[in-house]
Amino acid sequence: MTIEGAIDQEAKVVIAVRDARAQARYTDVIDGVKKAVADELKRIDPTLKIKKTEYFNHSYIPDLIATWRESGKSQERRVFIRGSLSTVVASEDVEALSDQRPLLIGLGDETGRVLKDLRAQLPKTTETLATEVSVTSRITAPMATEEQDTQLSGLVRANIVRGGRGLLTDSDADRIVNVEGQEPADALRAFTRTVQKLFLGSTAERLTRTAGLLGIFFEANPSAEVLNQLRDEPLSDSELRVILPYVLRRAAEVSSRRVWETLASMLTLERIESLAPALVDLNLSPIVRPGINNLIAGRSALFINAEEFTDEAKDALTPSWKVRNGKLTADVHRWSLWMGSDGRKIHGRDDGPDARWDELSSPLVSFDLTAIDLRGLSRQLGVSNVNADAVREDVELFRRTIDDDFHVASVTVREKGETDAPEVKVEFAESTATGKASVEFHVRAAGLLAVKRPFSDDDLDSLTSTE
Amino acid sequence: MVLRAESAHEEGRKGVFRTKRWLESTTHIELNFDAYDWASECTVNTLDNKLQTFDLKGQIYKSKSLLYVENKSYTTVGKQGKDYKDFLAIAYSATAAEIARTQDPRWEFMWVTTFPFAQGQWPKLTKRSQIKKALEEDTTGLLNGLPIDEEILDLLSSRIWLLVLNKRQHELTLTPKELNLIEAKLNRKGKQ
Repeated sequence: MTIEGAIDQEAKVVIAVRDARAQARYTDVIDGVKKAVADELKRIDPTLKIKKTEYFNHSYIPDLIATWRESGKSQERRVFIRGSLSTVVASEDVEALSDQRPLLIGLGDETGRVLKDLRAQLPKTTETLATEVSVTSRITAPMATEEQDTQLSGLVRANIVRGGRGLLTDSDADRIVNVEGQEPADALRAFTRTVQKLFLGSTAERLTRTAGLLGIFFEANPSAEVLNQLRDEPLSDSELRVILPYVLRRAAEVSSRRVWETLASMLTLERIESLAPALVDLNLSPIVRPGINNLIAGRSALFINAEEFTDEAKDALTPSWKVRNGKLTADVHRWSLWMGSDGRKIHGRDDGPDARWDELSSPLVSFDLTAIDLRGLSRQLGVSNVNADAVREDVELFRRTIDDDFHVASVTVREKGETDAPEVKVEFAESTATGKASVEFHVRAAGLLAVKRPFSDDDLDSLTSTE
Repeated sequence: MVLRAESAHEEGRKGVFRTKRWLESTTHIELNFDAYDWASECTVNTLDNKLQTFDLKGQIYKSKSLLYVENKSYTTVGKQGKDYKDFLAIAYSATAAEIARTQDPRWEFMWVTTFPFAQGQWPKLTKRSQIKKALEEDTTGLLNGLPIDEEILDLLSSRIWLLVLNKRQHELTLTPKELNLIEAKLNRKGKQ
């Protein structure tokens, strides 16, 4: 198969197959070819597990079995390596193996006549996928970066082994790769055409749904029915990995707030963390803020903003949510606020702010204070009481009666007036706030760590307003 | 003479893969390489330092022997009598060459045809005497001037296969789906 615009460099898999074929011992030929193809399939979809069988180029026993989990169930695709697609035609593999839903992958680079013959052997409803390593490599090679992995073409690519069918040629491969380069409307149409050609059944439905959703998200009045349905049947991680970056990159073109609310409803902090590689460099505020009361953090932290901007530049920026190092974070001028779904994901430091009761007394008014550790020159005092007012009264009493210079080591706070609300312990030396609570509460609790340069109401609004 | 892969004709190529499927369906044999896509794997050196290519190469599980297969998808007898003798002489010459180079390779050689030939001599066609006769009649120098080694003839006489395949054989063979069901239970490859 040859088309215009051939890729500049020979694909890794093509080189690996050639090297394997040059081996002197036939067992090395077999091992090398199987490894090259297995590696190629893993590159197409890194979530696949590839099991090598004891056989090679056998009539009816696969060379490789690709497995994955879908809806909690183990799924598999049998992969048959063939020297060429000409051999697939001559051996009538399509008919002989049809009940195995095979992926037939040729090591050659075939001409039009062979492809025509093969197409003639493939029934319209076939679940067999026939392709070549020289074709699949066209899809993977330009898609190696993390950012491109989150694109529409990435979603097609990730489903090729799982649900691809028919004949995948290099012109199909190039169409998949080029999808991103076109205008959004054209891209979605090309995507849908490719999906309909290459997929059947649940995979086709899921991918077509993705394309349809992307269209709906940008409508002025998106269908309430569709959005409600999405709340009942949330998107999978692999779908979100594509959809979120696609929509967030075009956030200005989303005119309905309900779209953001719907997407936010599918997120947990754990999910954001697992999707983090796909979300790098994107402003996540549109999807974090609507669900900020439902996102639960186990720990937050406030460190000095280490970005290489001038202080003036930092002060001028409006805080927004993003991911960095796999965690949800927001730069609040000269501070960096971090959220972790689990306490272990955020490590404290030992150079946190020096906090005095007189500085904290006022901001603490907006919380129920349930415990406090005070460090004086000669005394350490710990006070806790389920009655929040009692703690504050005790501290005020110490201040009046004990002649010492008390620093606050930690405070434990909860939502004002809500005795059942979760408690968060703010530790000043470590610069952390620990306890399962909403990200919204953590933003305010971690704000206590910013006593020397407090968050403004506007800052809090930029991070937590659900409007 | 040179064994030629059945590449010249599409029907010949189809016949090779029909034979491959049939032999693999016995569950005793696996034919990993064919002359179309893996020519160098299907090629052997003979005593006269020439290369000969068979249609298929693989292994017989039980004996752990490598197997070379020559396939003839004929609708008439053709020149099979002569070609078969060449096949025997090549089998000998390749084995002798490998023994001279390293050690006994224990290769086995199989002739599969869709049209029987030399039927008057059929029971004898795989015998030692036929191999010897083929070598004596060879005019292409497969012995490279060397005398016939009786010990190699002894070795080879049990390693020649001659099978007839009917095009309808697949109707009487287990389907790939059925074979998949029993493959693990049979464990012909002796997997742990």
